[in-house]
Amino acid sequence: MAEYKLLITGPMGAGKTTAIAAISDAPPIVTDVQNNDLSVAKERTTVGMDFGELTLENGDTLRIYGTPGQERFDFMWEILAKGAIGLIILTDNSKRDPVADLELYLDSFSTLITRTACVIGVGRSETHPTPTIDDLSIAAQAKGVVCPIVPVDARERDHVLMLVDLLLTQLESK
Amino acid sequence: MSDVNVSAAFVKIADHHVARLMAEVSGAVAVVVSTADGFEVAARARDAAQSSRLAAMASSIAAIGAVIGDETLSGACRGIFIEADRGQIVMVEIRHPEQVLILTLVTDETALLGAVTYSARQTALALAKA
Ligand SMILES: Nc1nc2c(ncn2[C@@H]2O[C@H](COP(=O)(O)OP(=O)(O)OP(=O)(O)O)[C@@H](O)[C@H]2O)c(=O)[nH]1
Ligand SMILES: [Mg+2]
Repeated sequence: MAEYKLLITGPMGAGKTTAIAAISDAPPIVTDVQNNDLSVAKERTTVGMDFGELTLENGDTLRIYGTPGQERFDFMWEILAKGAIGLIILTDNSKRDPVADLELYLDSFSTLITRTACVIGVGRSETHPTPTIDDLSIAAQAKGVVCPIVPVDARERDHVLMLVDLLLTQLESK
Repeated sequence: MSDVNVSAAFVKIADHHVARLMAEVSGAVAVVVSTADGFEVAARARDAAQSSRLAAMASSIAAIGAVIGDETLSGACRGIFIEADRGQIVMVEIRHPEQVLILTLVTDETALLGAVTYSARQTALALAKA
């Protein structure tokens, strides 16, 4: 039985903490504190990391880490990326510029993505249809990243498990 | 940060204390007061570029300290002390009734950890009442 580390990143409020809580076997470790950034209407925000564990049917264990979203915490991005076998990027289509958001995380985690695998989950696309999956896919390809991009709701366990599956499937075929 | 949720009066008092610590603590390299989510409220640093980085790092470390205090049933985290080869870093919570902030004091190797910790704690207590 093996243990793997996965990392979830993406912009503030995309649902990283929610996604980990949705799939973790035990209550996750959460480092959310009061948000003081008045430009984002959100009560609490992750400043350290999220951590949850998930045991798969084959007995393997996934250790799932979530990053803070804001760029001022990029030193945590580097710390958390160490030893990860893949990256899930959650985006939020209701944000001002989801394409630019995606590009930021693709650039910041390019070493990890090149070395391992990546999946992109697009949140709130039911209410905010643009950018489309195609638009995001073109942006990713321009960064040299070809990977699954799927609409998700981070609150839905099945959706998050699908992202994990897509990531693991890519790794198997590597 | 202009749109951060801290009163101008508090910022002014914090700035005064930060300047005082920088002048009084021998070996002080940087002093920062920051919000729990990593925004700088007041700062003095030999290298000014360092202070916003320190504010964000203090936030992450304090949050991780809080989780460790919690998971080990040790209670809330009051401070974190880092002893490095060429200096010391002391981070203490400012438990202000409106919100918890963090005071970070970085010194070079000439400073004494005990004295630095004492100064930081006293200042944090004063700021908690500001
Ligand atoms: N409508 C909608 N709400 C969502 C979706 N995903 C997450 N949410 C909600 O959006 C909020 C996201 O919060 P978090 O999980 O804290 O997001 P985060 O990415 O960890 O945020 P930071 O740590 O601040 O970067 C929660 O209130 C979720 O319930 C989604 O797909 N649709
Ligand atoms: Mg979070």
